[in-house]
Amino acid sequence: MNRLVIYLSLSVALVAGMYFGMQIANNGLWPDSFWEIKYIQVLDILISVTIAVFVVSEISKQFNYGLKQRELVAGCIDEYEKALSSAYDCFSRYAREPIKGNAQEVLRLLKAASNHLSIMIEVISSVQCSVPEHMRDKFETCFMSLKIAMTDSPFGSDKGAVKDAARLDKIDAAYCNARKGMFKAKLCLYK
Amino acid sequence: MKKISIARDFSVTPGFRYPLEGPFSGQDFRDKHLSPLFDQQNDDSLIEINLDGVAGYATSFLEEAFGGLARKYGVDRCLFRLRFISEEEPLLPSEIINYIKNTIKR
Repeated sequence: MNRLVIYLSLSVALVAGMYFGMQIANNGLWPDSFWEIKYIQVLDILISVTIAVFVVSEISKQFNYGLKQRELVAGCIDEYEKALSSAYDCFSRYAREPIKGNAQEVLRLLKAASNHLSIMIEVISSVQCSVPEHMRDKFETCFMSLKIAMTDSPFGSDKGAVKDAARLDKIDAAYCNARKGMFKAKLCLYK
Repeated sequence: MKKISIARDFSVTPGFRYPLEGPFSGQDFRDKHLSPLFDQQNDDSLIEINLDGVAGYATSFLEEAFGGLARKYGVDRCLFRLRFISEEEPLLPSEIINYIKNTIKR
């Protein structure tokens, strides 16, 4: 709004300056036709153009702001997706070779994914985006389901490669659900 | 208020559910640090548990430590006395409260 006032003031000042300048230099070097210019009309045009430019710039500013917000949320979802994928991949390594180092790595990566999730939820809550409230809660539920499926007993005490199909299926299903939620959220962003 | 930091008072690499699964298990933590504070029937003072500074928590550790405590001393008493702090992992306190509320008989 301040910019509109500045532009309008400059337009008025410009026309007023021209008018008074010509009045002072009444019989100066200007050709007679110059005095036939209707300054009120010039002012009218300048004000119209100024308002049009201002309105267009404000609309494009709002549009770009909305776009940037959506990009920011999409970026956060991407980061969370990468973190969760790393944890899932690490669990696959643990499932093949259940040593303590791999188990600790799974826990470390899940902690990182949890941080990304909380950042993502905070960003979604603080910006105006079209991700619905229930979807934000679902992110948490899906993460907890995956964490429980991965790290509840007998995680950490497996003696050989994990071959329990029911356990592995549960982990895969929880991971798929979590990713499905992320894709749905991304679709909501660009609706 | 009694304050317990898991990283300082127990381990920076908490283990899993039972001692036979490895060191620093959830059962160890419960028996050494939490149960003694709950054994006195008349004591209802708050216990603040700082969860920061560790490599990460397995569900089995958290469930055995806090869910196990709720199985032994009751869900309401645990929820009344325990306060959780985690700046590193803000979702962790609600996760633990979930384990306490949904205590599974084992």
